[in-house]
Amino acid sequence: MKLDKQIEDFIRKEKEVKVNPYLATRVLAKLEEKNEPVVFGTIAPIWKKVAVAASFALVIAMGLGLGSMVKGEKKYIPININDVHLENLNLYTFTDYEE
Amino acid sequence: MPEKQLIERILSGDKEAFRLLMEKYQQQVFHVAIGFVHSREDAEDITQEVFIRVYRALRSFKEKSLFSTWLYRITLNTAMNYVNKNRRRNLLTDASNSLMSLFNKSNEERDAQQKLETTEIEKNIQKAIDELPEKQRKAFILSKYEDLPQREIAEIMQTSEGAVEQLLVRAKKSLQKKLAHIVGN
Repeated sequence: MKLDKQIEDFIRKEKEVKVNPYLATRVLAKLEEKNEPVVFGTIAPIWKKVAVAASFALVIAMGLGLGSMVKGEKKYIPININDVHLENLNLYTFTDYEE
Repeated sequence: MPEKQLIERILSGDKEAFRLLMEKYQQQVFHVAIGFVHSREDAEDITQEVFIRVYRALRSFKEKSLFSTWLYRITLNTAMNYVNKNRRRNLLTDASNSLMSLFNKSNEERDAQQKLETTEIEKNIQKAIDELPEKQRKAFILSKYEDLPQREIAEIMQTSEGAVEQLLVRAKKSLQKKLAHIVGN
């Protein structure tokens, strides 16, 4: 009981401390100093969206631009290779081990 | 002026409306802050930081809860951040204070003895509150420094009323255990 009262007294003492009446002015001054617009919250998301959309558009435009820079005909080189020996087809046709 | 209207005015750029909002809530924020730091200067720093955060985040306040609930949440987070950030600094201050009191002890007068004992008790209570686990400390401060009902504390801490009751019971037991030696004296 005595302890509870001591704790209550301690808290009551701290609660008696009043906030500086100029605190609001200080906060407003700080905000002015940082030059923060009140509508900061609305501007930021719009700018973010615009920035993301613009970066996508830029990347796509760059891709198309680079693609269109490649000119000329595609050259196909015919290669005559006898590929009979490249792969041993016996492996697939060998039937000795089949039951 | 109704709160909703005040917020709308702030969002449309009226700084005087923000001043009114601060003046309405600054003492509440300050009480919670002082519960965490036990110093006027530090509590004012926290209060200032809280309102700067509120100003920046006001657009994100969706009115799903009361403005005061939202404000208390910001206050608790800001205060905890402040405490954690300044823990190292406080350790150094405590050490220097202990040294100073050691040197000054011989010069203390007898009639100051009672005052000194009170201060010692207060220091112990302060330390015991500061050493409570985070959730117990938050619930305890909201309950004792702001006299909030358990239902409101539960909403602020986003937990159940039962959990808040448990936190407060545990906080009380913990304080009694830590401060038992004071009653013994």
